[in-house]
Amino acid sequence: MLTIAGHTLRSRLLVGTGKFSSSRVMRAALEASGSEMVTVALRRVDLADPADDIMQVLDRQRYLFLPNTSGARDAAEAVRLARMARAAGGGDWLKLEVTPDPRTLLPDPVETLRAAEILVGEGFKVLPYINADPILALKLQDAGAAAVMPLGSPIGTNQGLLTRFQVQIIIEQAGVPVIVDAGLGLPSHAAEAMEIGADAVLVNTAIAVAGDPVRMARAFALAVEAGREAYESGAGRSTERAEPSSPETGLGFLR
Amino acid sequence: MTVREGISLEGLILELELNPDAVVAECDGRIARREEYAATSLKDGMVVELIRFVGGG
Repeated sequence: MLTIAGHTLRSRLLVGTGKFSSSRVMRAALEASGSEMVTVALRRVDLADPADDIMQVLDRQRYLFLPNTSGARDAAEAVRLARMARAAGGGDWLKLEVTPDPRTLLPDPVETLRAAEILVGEGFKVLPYINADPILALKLQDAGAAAVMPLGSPIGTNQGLLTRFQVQIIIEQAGVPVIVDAGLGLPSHAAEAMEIGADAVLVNTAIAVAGDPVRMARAFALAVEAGREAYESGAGRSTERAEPSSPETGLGFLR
Repeated sequence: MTVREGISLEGLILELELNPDAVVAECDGRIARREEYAATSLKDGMVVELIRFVGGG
């Protein structure tokens, strides 16, 4: 069981709700994922399409909403979005993201830490999206973050766990849950993150844009479960040289 | 946009066929609390932002 800020979740797969082709597909994919925590974004009401309301589509009893601050380019914008999220009934949970560069969508560490300090002080349960920086992860933990969310690779790239080495250090040092977020494009990427001891992963694009998002959601759920089982089982060490798995003795009859 | 004289924030939201419980309103940079919607009358030149949740990662 995964516990974040005192809240227990059975599923270690968090799912983002962006980019789905329809509400119906999204709902079915979330169901197949087994996820209990989903991210949502805040945007200006589109008066041309007022019917599209995610609050009507998702059952809040079933899914814990994790509003994000996507679109924020500095701490002030993130804080403003966070307060709006709470006012909109989003609760106290917050995926804090500050991404000033639209080309890379890499998070700004200084502004993220600044915003985290303010929002923790306002009672938010802050889950910051960060580059896989072990020092920053510790600073955010000290600032009261409920978890840290290091990236595997840039948002939406499906490139997998390019930051494995740094994420491993973050996991070794962390006193709060580590959720690998962004860039996990295949179930094997998610399994890899779980095998090295990540507490959870967050996946959006890889599920939402798959040919069959529902089956891909299921595939990620299985991979996350498999990776966690492997981690808890205690993996054997890797070696340079071959080591026979069959007995080396008892071959006298051959020669 | 132009709205009816004396309309409240809640009136505007309902006129736009939005659910007042699923929208957050910011009037001149200040977030209005849900219980303030009905009593907030819109004034000429006021900047009103209506924000809501959408799908996102």
